[in-house]
Amino acid sequence: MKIAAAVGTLCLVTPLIFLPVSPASALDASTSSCVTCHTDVKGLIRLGWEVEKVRGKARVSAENEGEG
Amino acid sequence: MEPYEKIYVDPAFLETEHGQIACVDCHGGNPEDPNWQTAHDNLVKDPTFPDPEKTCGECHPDIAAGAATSLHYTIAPIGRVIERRMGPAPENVRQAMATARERHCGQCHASCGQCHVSRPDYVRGGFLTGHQFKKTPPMETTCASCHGGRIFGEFTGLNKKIPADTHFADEDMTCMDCHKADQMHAAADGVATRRQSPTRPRCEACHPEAVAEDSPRPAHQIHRRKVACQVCHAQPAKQCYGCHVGTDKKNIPYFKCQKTTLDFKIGLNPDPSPDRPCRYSVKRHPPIVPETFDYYSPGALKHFDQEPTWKSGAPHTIRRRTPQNAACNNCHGNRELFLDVKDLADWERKANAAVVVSDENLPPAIAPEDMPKN
Ligand code: HEC
Ligand code: HEC
Ligand code: HEC
Ligand code: HEC
Ligand code: HEC
Ligand code: HEC
Ligand code: HEC
Ligand code: HEC
Repeated sequence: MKIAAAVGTLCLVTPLIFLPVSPASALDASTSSCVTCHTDVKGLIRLGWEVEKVRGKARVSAENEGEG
Repeated sequence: MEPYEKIYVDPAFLETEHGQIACVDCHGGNPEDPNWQTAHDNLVKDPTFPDPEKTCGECHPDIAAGAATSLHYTIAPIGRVIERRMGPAPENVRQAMATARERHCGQCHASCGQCHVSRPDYVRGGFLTGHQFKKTPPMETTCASCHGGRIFGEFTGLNKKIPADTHFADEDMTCMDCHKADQMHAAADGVATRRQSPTRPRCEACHPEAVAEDSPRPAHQIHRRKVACQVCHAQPAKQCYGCHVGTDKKNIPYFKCQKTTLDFKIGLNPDPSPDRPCRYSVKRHPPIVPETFDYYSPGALKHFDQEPTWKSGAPHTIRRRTPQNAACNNCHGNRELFLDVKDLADWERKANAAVVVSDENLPPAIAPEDMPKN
């Protein structure tokens, strides 16, 4: 499994974790759109409403009655 | 919580142990893709459910191995109770009930991520704090999101006229002071109900003097191993009645519950054991009725009577002094406090036959000359 292998590798480099690494060197932000996008507050605010659209509105039924 | 905050990764997270791992290793997806929608193709929203082994097991092997069968992962006892109330049933009924359970119980499972990283799905998720892995889940967001209906409200005094639990009000304790990691992560393969968790907290572990044979307090000495602590120390708690579940026009699951009351009822323990010797305990009424699942499969609960509807519970409304313990005869001879056949609807009489307190089992009023002197 790819994830297991990746995590395994990380275990091997665990000692490095205790060095003061900067995030930019630990995870090359420029190649991970995940990091770029999820740390960009303005971008996320802009996307926010679109995200809600994709995730769907709160799925709470209007027919609920009483305490659940 | 603003929509963006739910998914905003605090750059500080990237400097923590877990932040060293690439997003893609836990979540999958396509990190090189700049289009956010296609970047999320094949995304794993919660990499810790249903199997935490791959993402967390490498570094937290013991916790991951146990948690996979823990009560929070499987909520198996709830399923088993429903099975017992169904009894042997044809395949189409089982199918329909499986659908009902998936729709209505699916969001009640708690994974590593649901306790340590995000808010529960039940309240529509969102990070606890910028994707940080929190050692101690925050009580008000994590535990309260799922246990808010009854226990959290009781504990913190949200119920009208019922003061908060002394452990919260006077001691500032949180859930985690009693329900520790070893309970939250415990493997629960052979555990029949949540009341039988071997790692559950016990009042007497912290208050050994209350069960000492030579306890200086007569109330403690006389009732030890006979009457549960809550019988004297808990206040009224929430009881729920008559819930039905179904799916609305938009295919969203709904529940309709007839009523909730604040009540206090003492009943018999139908099966005392060395582990739980007390004959009397405080009861809790769950919302189930024979028709709860009729929307999915009418009459599916053919063996409804296999389980009582007044179950031993643990109201988190503990106080040193309560109306019922303020004097011996506030309780002895007080019919009101003890579950009576008259408190039951016709359809639940049989189910509770072993739980109701008959007049013979009502502790009699104590004569003045028999009152303990101190
Ligand atoms: C590469 C190894 C590694 C992996 C994989 C890993 N952890 Fe950890 N985790 C650690 C280390 C190291 C610590 C720090 C232990 C300490 O401080 O005592 C830690 C601590 C924690 C803590 C306590 C946080 C704190 O501040 O003390 C939690 C909760 C946690 N991990 C949950 C998880 C979960 C859930 C997963 C799976 C999604 C996971 N971990 C995967 C290495 C890892
Ligand atoms: C129902 C909530 C819940 C779930 C589910 C859960 N934990 Fe925990 N976890 C806790 C609590 C409570 C603590 C204790 C916090 C404290 O002592 O402050 C804890 C503590 C920890 C710690 C700190 C070390 C320790 O043992 O005290 C780690 C690491 C951890 N959990 C990892 C995990 C992993 C990995 C999973 C999934 C396999 C997981 N937890 C699932 C509630 C949970
Ligand atoms: C060690 C594994 C791990 C890594 C690495 C990781 N995550 Fe997560 N992530 C989780 C877990 C566990 C959750 C909680 C899932 C849940 O409870 O549903 C989560 C939740 C999320 C959520 C959903 C928040 C919500 O509740 O709606 C987002 C968004 C997210 N992660 C983005 C990222 C990004 C971006 C990165 C890389 C910077 C990343 N994750 C790295 C394990 C990880
Ligand atoms: C996603 C919802 C969810 C979250 C979050 C959650 N719980 Fe639970 N919890 C449940 C459900 C459902 C059960 C019932 C399991 C059963 O009976 O099968 C349960 C059972 C329990 C039990 C009794 C079973 C046992 O494990 O011994 C305790 C104690 C408990 N929860 C405490 C907590 C605490 C403390 C927290 C916060 C750290 C918490 N829970 C967070 C849903 C949740
Ligand atoms: C002072 C200790 C203490 C605190 C604080 C505490 N609990 Fe409990 N809890 C207990 C005890 C004792 C039991 C009963 C265990 C048993 O005998 O089955 C229990 C039982 C439970 C159960 C199973 C209840 C049932 O009726 O089946 C749940 C769920 C639970 N607690 C959740 C919580 C949550 C959520 C919080 C915080 C809001 C919390 N507890 C705070 C001591 C505590
Ligand atoms: C994790 C330990 C712990 C558990 C479990 C626990 N308590 Fe306590 N309790 C305390 C502490 C600490 C206090 C503060 C007063 C003291 O030290 O006695 C307290 C206070 C009390 C008080 C008020 C005492 C006074 O002098 O005002 C009562 C009554 C009480 N607990 C009953 C219970 C009952 C009943 C249970 C089980 C449902 C229980 N406790 C479970 C730790 C615990
Ligand atoms: C038959 C009733 C009864 C039962 C059962 C009972 N208690 Fe008590 N308890 C009392 C009374 C009465 C007091 C004193 C109340 C007051 O101060 O007004 C008390 C006081 C306490 C105190 C404060 C310390 C003290 O002794 O003054 C603690 C702690 C306590 N009880 C814990 C427990 C625990 C734990 C259990 C279960 C093992 C338990 N009690 C069972 C009646 C009871
Ligand atoms: C909140 C309820 C409650 C309070 C308060 C209470 N009792 Fe009891 N008592 C019971 C119950 C229930 C039993 C039945 C126990 C059994 O039969 O197993 C009982 C049984 C007894 C017994 C018989 C014990 C035996 O071994 O058969 C005596 C004697 C007694 N109580 C005296 C007292 C005295 C004296 C007080 C006041 C200091 C008191 N009780 C306060 C509920 C209470």
